[in-house]
Amino acid sequence: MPSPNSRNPWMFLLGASLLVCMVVDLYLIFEFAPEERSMGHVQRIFYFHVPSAWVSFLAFFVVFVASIRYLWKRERKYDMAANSAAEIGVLFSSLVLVTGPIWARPVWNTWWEWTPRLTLFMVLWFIFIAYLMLRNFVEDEERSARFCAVFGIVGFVDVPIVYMSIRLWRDIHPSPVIAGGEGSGLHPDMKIAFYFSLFTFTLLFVYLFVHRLRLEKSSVALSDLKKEMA
Amino acid sequence: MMNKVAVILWKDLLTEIRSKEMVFSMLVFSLMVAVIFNFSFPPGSDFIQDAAPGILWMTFIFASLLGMNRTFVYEVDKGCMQGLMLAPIDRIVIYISKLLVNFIFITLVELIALPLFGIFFKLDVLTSPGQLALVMLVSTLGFTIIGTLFSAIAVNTKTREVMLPILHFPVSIPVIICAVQATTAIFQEQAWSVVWGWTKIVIFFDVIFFIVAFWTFEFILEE
Amino acid sequence: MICDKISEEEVISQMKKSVILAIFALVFAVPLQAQVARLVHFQGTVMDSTGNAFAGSTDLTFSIYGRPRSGQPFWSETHDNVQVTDGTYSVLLGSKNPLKLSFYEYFLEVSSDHVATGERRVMIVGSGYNFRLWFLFSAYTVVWLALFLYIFSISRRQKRIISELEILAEVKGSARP
Repeated sequence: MPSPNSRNPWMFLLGASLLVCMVVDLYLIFEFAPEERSMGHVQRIFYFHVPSAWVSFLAFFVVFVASIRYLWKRERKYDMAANSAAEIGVLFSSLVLVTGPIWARPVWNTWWEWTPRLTLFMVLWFIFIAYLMLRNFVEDEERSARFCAVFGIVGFVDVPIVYMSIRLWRDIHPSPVIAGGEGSGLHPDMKIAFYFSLFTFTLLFVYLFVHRLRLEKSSVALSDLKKEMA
Repeated sequence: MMNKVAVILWKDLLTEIRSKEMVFSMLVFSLMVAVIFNFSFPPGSDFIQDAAPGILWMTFIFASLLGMNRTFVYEVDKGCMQGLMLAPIDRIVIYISKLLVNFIFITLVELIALPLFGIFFKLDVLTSPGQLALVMLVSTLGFTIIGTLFSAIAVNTKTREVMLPILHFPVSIPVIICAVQATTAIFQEQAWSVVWGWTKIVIFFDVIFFIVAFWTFEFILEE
Repeated sequence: MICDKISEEEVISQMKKSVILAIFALVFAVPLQAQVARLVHFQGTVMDSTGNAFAGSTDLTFSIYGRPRSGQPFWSETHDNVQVTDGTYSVLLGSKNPLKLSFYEYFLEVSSDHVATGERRVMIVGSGYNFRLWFLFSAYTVVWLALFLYIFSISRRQKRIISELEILAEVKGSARP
């Protein structure tokens, strides 16, 4: 894994393209996409709510894959990757949990509705938080890496089963689906804004991940140096 | 392998029979919770019957966490863990025997507490004993599988007793939902298909997590 | 050196990025707010006591509820001397009492002491209220704020670690002759 560097041209390219994409995304979200007829402007939350959800899943998937790789190969970089992704996952699933109710309040007249998706994110958020807590509460680094890897795998495998049971649990009261759900019945311009937003957020994830990983590497280097000197 | 499991199982059962620590504390705890939950409802209210399955399972899960926290505490504190790990057995044997120990104790507590619950909550718990037994069996197994795995993790953390519930609850949510719903369906004498709809998710959960635990447990006890 | 250096310029450039995007946020959000209507045009029918279409003028009270039945109204206003022709009238809701409802669905009840207005509440689907934009705006602010704070915290942590590393490396270098 080449060390990401601020003077690295690829890093510069990533940061610059992210900046451009964000600006274009803002334009698409607020100007280009047409106003939704029944929900009005508040529907525009959708363009960053759903991509945040996607990034949380992506982060969780990275945690899962990195955990498996760690248990298999025992290379520290996989543990660092898992930790970095988990932290970003907390950030984005928190954003999902904040923007969801802000959208639900004007549209459904309630801050919190136990819809399958929102409930799933609540659970996901708890799993991420538990993951980070576990990391902080185990003193030995190697041990904490192993434990977190096991928990990351268990947590990821759990997600579909959680969704299955929540779906069945809430089936009695079918919840209103986000306008257009996963792209169904979306205006073509809305689709463009939505997919572009998805792309921008994915890029944002990559950017944050690379930077977080660099931080992780420095902090490991620091603790190694401290150990060496002690 | 079965012999080795039986040896560890017998050791733990014997310890428990002598001390009666785990079962007794779980039992007292669940009865106390049952009584205290009664105070959260207006006296003589009918809500309590609707809420009873939820209270029942919450009690069992809290009590089982109390018990499962102790799974590896003895081994770690009394230095038996090294002995256990040096023994010529697979790690998975340790896991299975600990799983069985927990399962036996928790089931025992549930069997004693259930009729008392029926009395406290004025609930006919024996409407269909076969279905209830199945639901209790698979659900208890579900959170024991997770709990035994995580208790091996939690025992090595700074905040042992706190860590287990924090790890355990989010993961065992499917079991909690399904066990409560299936039990509600049973108490309301709904059709078997309804009960089965919930039960099969728990069975699925059990199978998946037994496989995951089977594969990952050896990484926890490794030093 | 084990780690790459992070220069002060980079921290500043990251701050600059945040500022630029925050400005964009404001630039886009402000004009959106101006486009919003706060009046609702409403047409309804009334009958007289014999069940025929009413003609003339009457007082009408409009109340908005969150539910189809019972409950407290969120908003209400009375229009005096509404002109009714062939049982039909039209009013601008929100012209007497500012309408600040944020809900997607709500229910309008028309009542009068003199004429029959029908028992049922009428469902109204509202959109484009000023209030709603605040939801959009706050969600939007939360998202970007969180992202910038996170990026900022990463670069700060990184900076602190790097400086600590440098100090340690120096100490180590001087300890070894």
